[in-house]
Amino acid sequence: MDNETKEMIKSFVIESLDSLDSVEPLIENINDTNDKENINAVFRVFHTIKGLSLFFGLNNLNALTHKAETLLDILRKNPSLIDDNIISLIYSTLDLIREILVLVSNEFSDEKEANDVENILFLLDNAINSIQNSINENSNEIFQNEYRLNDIDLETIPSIDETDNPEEGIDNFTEQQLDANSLISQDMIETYLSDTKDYLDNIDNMLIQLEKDPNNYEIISNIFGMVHSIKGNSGFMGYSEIQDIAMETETILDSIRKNELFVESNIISILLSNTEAIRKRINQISEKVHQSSNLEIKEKQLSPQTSAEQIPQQKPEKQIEIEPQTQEQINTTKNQNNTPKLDIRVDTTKIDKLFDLVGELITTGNMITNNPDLANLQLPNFSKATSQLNKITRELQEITMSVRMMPLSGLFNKMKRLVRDTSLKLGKKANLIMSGQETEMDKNIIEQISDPLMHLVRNALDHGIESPEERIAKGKPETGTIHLAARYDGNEILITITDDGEGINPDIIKEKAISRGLINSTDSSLSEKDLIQLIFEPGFSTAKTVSDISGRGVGLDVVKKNIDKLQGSVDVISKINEGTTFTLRIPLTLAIMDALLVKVGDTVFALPLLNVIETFKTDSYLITKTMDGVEMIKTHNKLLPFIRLYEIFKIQPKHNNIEQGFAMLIQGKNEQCCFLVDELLGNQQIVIKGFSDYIGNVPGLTGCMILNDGNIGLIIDIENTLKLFENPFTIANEILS
Amino acid sequence: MENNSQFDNNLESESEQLSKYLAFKIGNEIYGIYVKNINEIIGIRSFTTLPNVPKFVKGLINLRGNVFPVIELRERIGLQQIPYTSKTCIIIVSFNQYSVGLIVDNVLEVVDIDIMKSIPPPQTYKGTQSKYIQSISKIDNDEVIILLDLEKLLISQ
Repeated sequence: MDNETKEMIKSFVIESLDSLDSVEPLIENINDTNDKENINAVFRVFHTIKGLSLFFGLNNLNALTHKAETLLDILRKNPSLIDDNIISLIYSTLDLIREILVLVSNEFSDEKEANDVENILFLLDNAINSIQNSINENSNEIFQNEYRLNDIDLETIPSIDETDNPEEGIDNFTEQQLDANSLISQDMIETYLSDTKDYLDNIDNMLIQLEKDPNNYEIISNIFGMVHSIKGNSGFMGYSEIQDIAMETETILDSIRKNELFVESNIISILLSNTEAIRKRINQISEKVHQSSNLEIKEKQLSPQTSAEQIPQQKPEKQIEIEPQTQEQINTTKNQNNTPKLDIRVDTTKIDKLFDLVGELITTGNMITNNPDLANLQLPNFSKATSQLNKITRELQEITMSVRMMPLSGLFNKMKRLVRDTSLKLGKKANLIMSGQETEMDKNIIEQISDPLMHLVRNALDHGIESPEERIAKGKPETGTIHLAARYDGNEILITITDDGEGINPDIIKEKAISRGLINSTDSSLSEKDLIQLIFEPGFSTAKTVSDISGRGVGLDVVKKNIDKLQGSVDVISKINEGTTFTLRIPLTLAIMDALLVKVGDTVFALPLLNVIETFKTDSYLITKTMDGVEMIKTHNKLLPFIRLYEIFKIQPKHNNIEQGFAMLIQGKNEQCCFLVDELLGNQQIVIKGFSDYIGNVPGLTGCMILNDGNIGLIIDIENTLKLFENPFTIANEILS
Repeated sequence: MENNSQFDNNLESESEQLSKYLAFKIGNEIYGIYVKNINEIIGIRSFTTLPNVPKFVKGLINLRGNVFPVIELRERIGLQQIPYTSKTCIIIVSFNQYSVGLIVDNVLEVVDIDIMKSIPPPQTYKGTQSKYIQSISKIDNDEVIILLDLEKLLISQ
């Protein structure tokens, strides 16, 4: 297999995965008789994959999608027969297709999944047969259904059967197009049109190549594949004329392939004229589509009297009646519609590289603006220029960040499926309500919160929502509700998962914790809130029985660990019989943060600004020292741990006197403490750099940063530093390991 | 034409046997590192010390926006650290995903070494530090050069 084909297969896989993702949330609603768009969209995705997999010789994938397509086709005509089992079956088919696609992108073959394919094929066959049977039983009813469909078609046709196209057969396909319109959405037509245009351009190129290299079998099969796709898609969309031309072209190509026909310039000319004919029709269709879509918009927006105008371009005498203003409106809508989609696919490593470079730029900008050589100089022009530079770099940074930002809707839609599958498995009833799915997050972070979020949603169903009987007995609605919400909060994103289930019972937690030796049975100082936090301890589970969904106690501590890794936090609030809310707080971006710079000895440290409550001068009489040598400071009527950073980081400080240094009141995740530093340097936006792979993690530090003078500053990990303070031995241990 | 290609062939077979190594000094001994692993050589400069890391990791340096850890090669191979002089250099080396600066006493020159003629480190020697030696060879003026095994130097504990 040559590289070009491999590239083609790769892009086929990426595109197919994308379209599978986009239709997955629709599957749930394919039995919606009012909105056939759902089932049609799913059908079309399967159909496209079917066509292309045949072209690439992926037989398993082809067989699978073909069968799934057949099933959907029957269901499309009989939506009333869709039940939960069938939806589950479609879901599992989708999963398998996805698996195969991933396999294909690595191995360029789909052989390994043959067994799974056979299983699903068997299930699909069963489903098709049983549906066929029930159709036969109710054949009368079905006949009526079909009759009704025809009625609708008849109604739609007359409204738009006027065309002024001289081409023969145009009338014909306009009707078909509108006929299909009842099933096919505007988006689908747009995609079809742009796909076909792409195909045509490629085919033209390849034909010209073929003319120069007539015996290149590869080119012929490539062309054949694309023509075949055009044929299939056009057939599906109902453009029979294009389908015919494509078929004719396909026949010629087939004879060339079989060496019955030799590639000569006149053959190439015929083929080129065929693609030209298709292109002409495609252009006509796209004009028509835009006209009719303008009409639709117009109908929605304008007053009833103007909406009576069906096709202004074709009825000039009535067009005059349209006020100039409305005409403008039509023009603007038309312009919007004609704007082609300007998406391009970009390798994420390139974006990451761009992101790194912007980081460099910010650092270098800071180095120039705050250059020590310029200190104490009056440079009005220079400051003007640098403030302009800073403005631009900041804007550049925002844009670059936004490139990596993606809405959470993709992740949230996955949860829909999860709730459905899990509640079926558990025999529970639950609704998933989502809000804020348009909230955007760094793509890399979204990937990393996917697993924790799934854990929490699964937990809410398994441990939170009660069985329907139990809920009725408690006087709650039979169907439980899980609310998944996201919103911005300052520099962070809050994601909450709320259920109206049985809540977490602190007494059970206490019992468990004592039996596992996590707390002492005599320890009564723990509040309910503290007790509930124990669920994040490793190996803790309150489920009475271990189910195959959750309950082994490996969930929540992993969730916490993953969120901690992102510098985020997890919180839980729960009320017995009212429900539980988990709150994830995740920083918007990991790479850049606002920090307070301080100096200890000769080393510059940066602390996340969000965690610094205040800084103050202090006195040694406020310090109490325990016999372990642990110091506490009295401030704000509280006694807080007093941490001398030079001790933790083993630095020679400028002064040992507490009076000469500065104390900083620090907010940790759950507790407060005070740090002692030598000097405060001010706050600054910093770009976080990791230590190199060679060093790995350094206890107490998140990473490093480049200072304005080109030296390196160290970024303090507050939680980790607190741990070092609690247990000085961990330092020694981590160095040894 | 024929002569030329003959000449090229000779050159190629020559370069196949000889490998280029950067020779540098630590104490009285000459050491060598394969040039393909070397990114650049810079003079000793101030670095940021890192807390809570092994003793031979001296700290971090910033080289045009990239941060590299710096290792005291003397301490890594079991020698005492000595004060830095104007001849002290940092050699930036790359091995696999690691990029690290090595502090050495004095950088000499790039030498051609015939790997086929070099010998393995002496088996009878019982010291723990000889594991960093790839092989021992000779340079033109009959001086002995110890070729270092970067993989072991950087990765092994």
